[in-house]
Amino acid sequence: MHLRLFYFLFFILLSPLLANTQIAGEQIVNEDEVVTPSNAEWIPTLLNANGSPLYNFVIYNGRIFSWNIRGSAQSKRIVDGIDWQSSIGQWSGDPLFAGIQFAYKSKEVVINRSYTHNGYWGYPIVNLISSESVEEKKSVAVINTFSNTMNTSNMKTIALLLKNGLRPGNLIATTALKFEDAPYGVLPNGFKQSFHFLLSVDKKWKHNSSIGVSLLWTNTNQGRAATSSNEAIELSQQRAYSPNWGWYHQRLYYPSTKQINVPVLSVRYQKKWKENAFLEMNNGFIVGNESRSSLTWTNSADPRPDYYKYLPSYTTDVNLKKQLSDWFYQHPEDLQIKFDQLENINKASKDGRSFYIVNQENNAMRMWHGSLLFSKVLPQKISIQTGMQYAFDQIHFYNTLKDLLGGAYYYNYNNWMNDDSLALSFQQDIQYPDKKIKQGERWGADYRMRSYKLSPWIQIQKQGPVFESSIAIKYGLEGIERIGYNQNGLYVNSKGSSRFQHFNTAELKAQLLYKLNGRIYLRSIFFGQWLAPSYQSIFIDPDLNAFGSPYRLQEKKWGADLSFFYRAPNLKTSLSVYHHQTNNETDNKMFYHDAYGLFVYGSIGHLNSILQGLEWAVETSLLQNVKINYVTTLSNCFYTDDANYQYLDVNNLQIKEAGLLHLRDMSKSNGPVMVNAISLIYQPIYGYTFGLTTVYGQERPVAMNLFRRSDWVRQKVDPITWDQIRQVPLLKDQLVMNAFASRFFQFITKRTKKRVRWNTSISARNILNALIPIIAYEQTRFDYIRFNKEKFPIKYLMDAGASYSIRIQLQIQ
Amino acid sequence: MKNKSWLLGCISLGAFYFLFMPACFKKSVNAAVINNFEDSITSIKTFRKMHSMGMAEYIAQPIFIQGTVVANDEHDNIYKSLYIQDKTGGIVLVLDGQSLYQTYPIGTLIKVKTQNLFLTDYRHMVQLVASVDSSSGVLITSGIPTPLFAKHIQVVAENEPIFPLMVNYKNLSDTLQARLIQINAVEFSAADTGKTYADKKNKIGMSRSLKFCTGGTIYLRTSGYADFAGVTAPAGNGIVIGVYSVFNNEKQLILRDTNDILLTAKRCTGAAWLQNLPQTAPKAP
Repeated sequence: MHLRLFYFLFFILLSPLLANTQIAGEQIVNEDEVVTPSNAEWIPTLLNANGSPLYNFVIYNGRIFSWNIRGSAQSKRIVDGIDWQSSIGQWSGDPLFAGIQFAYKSKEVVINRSYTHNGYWGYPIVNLISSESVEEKKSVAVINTFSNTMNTSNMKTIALLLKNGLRPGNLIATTALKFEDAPYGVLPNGFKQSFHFLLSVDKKWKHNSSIGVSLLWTNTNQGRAATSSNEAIELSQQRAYSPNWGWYHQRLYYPSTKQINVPVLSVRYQKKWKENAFLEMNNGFIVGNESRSSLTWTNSADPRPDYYKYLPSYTTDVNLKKQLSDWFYQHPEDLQIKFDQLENINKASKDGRSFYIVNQENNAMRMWHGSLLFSKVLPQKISIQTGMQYAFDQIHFYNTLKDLLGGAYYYNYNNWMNDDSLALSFQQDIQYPDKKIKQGERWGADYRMRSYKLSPWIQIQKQGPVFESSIAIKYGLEGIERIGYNQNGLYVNSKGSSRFQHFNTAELKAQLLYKLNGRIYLRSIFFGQWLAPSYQSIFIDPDLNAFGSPYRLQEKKWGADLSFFYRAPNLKTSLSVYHHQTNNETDNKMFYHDAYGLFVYGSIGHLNSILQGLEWAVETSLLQNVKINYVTTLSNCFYTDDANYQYLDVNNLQIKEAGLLHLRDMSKSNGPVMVNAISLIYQPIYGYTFGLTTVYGQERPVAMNLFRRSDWVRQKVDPITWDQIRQVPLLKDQLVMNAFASRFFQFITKRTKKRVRWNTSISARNILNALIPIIAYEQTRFDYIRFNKEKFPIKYLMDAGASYSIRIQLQIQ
Repeated sequence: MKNKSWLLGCISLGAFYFLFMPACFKKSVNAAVINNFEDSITSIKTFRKMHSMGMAEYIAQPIFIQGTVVANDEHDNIYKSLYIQDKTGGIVLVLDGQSLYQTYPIGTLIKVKTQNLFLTDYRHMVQLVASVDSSSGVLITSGIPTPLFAKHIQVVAENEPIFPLMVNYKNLSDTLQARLIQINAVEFSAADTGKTYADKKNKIGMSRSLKFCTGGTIYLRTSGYADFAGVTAPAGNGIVIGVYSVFNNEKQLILRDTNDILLTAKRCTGAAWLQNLPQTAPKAP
């Protein structure tokens, strides 16, 4: 309610301002992604390698069932020349820019590590965007979006984009605002309220230099979706079932939330020397907080309504199974968390001790990321680029008690540790034992991580009439340190500095393009990478201690990509084959091991895999007004060797078990092995566009839990059971169909000669309402006693199903 | 100027739509749990008579019993069950849940809808369970699943006063099953004094013999998971309160917590033993 009032006041205040604004503009931008099928550059020359039908398919239609290009989870956004990814925690920077990307200018989409004069980036897909204000006319654009999910209304988005054109003093500014509001119950994750603000100011002088400053502020509060078992989803009779929320005082209550309150300041400087050299200096600063909250409990019954022991499958008695099923069908509220009951338990405890709380994990971030880029064209069509990427990060991780749920305090204990009569072992802070935590106070993990990364690089390109070749090399020095602020009762090194752990990294890349004629191109890319260990592999559990993981290995990657391109006026096609090999990957998880009856740190080392595949894309016009894109991909990602693993007892870090994981030849990917996608775009007359896209994915494996495929398990079960456990479950073939229609028109007012553009589009996702798991994975917990595969079943997050979105854009210039 | 007004109008319209567009999302049903707990109540004594030892009786009729929780799993000596009693008798209610004491603390008066449950016994201890399975030749029972607690159990009142029934050895019989009793003038056998109630380290349950000064033995049964399993059995004589239980023909006492043991008087040896009386009788709690 407060948010709506704020919106209302905002518009009342802003409307006169907008009314006095000179309105002009160049183009309406797409708010979801800057690159669209219509504006993506397609021709893969070395000078211009933007986009491809494949990329567009994956971005717009592939997410629904984890269809990623070459195993990359998503495109990496490089904003203002800066890689915002942190080597600490999970921070990628994406949440900052995703919401307001419509205000950014797309510079380039780099696919398959191909050469770009915008720097050397070692990711499979890089989307380079910039907040730099360009010399446009004054304009204002208003974008309204209304969309539904699960046949319910509505998520509302309103965005404003103001460009003031070139002002005296060569100042150019862009302002963008965006509000999103999805009330409780709309989205699978519960709710979302967000506010994005961008102010970008650039000053240019002497026609060859510019300096710019951008201020971005993102403030988001949203719920988090949760996966669940197929059984619970069916019982709930809701495809978007989430066990993450419940009823509290007769109102919806979401304990699982995420908040982002992060202002970002970026400063850029550019200088050109004629047309053959330029320098870019980019620096970005982040000072903000990200937090996540969730329900936490100790010494109490599991409050999750889809806990496996509460579901009918847990009982073997047929009548009881039916009673339970009937009960859930008749009482769907029992498949949500009963917060009133939890509150009663907290209140009824002897002195108000809370057994159930809502905990908030906070990441207080201070980051400085930047890049230098110098490019010069030498004689004989040789160009050279050199630069450096750098990052200095500091994140303070700590917990605060968000909600005592009716209780008076919560003990500062390790929740997962049993009381073994050693009074200190379960203390989160032995200097303050048995501390009673009140609402809003800090508790639990309290530590700071610091990291640095310096990566100088250089690349050289030579252009010729037939060949274009390039080579690049990058060196990196990285370091990471943990500083603990409390003395855990179990681990001696939980407090104090771990000292910096330093790693050297290196990357290289070579590319050759052969121009057979004006229409046919052949391209080959080779790359190699020696990366630093992942954050999770350096420290086994930084929340509690500074011990290193048993497998602190540097990951190695190398690969080759061979592509064929054909370009004719009415036909564009490409064919690529690729082979990528990865060595020394690691994985770490803490989980409850049923056979040992305790929590263990599970570590896997020496994961070696190969990703290879074939991609074919074609784009042509069938009739005069119909454009067709067709893409087919065949990929195979599998482990090449068995891997090593260890279980460490969390109580003393002693090895409980070690051995081999039988992974050889098993699928590593959780994306479909084969995908066929086709899109038809029909434009009967100017201003009308209709589109239909169909994507069909086959042989999509469930994301595997590797630990259950151990030699220890093989020795405990018969061969048939072992084969069943080892086999990777496949999901059903999946088909998704999306459609859109848009109407665009413009007119010029008689008196002021201002151009008014109006664009309305309606898009529908998954119009066949296919039941598609967005996420499907085997749980880490496994029945290591009876080896029953169904005891801890596969968990899913289902797609929301058929949904529509209406988008109205108004631009006046 | 006209254009400016037009723009203002457009934006205001958009803002109005944005602000006041109805949020007609689908809400989950927060239906109240409705159970028919209005029927008449059968006494636990009468209810227990429905059971024949070694058999399992399915309760098809909507029979209700009401009792006060006298023991639960607060100290982990009792696992997945509640002991309830009314004025006529007691019974074990087997529930497939954890931390039951948080929802059903001692002193909670509950009404149990027994329809669709089974009356069975475990080693002659009568209990109410949700399912039975004898396909393996052995009767395997399971407790009421957590989601069905609301279907079968209704909390009627809290903090009901409970007074242990004072009994002597001769009065110990199956009619006292699952009832809170107090026995006087007892002491641990000499062999058991100084030993822990159970093997806490290896999580093994144990029985310690409690001798009546007047003659007779009852066994104090303690789970290896009980948080007081590692406590040493006192050597004195006095009062012990607990829930009466049987294991076949063995008479047992289940401790709720160590506050129920008041063995501070001198052991009944010498003259006291001859007189079958403790030398000093401590006060009951």
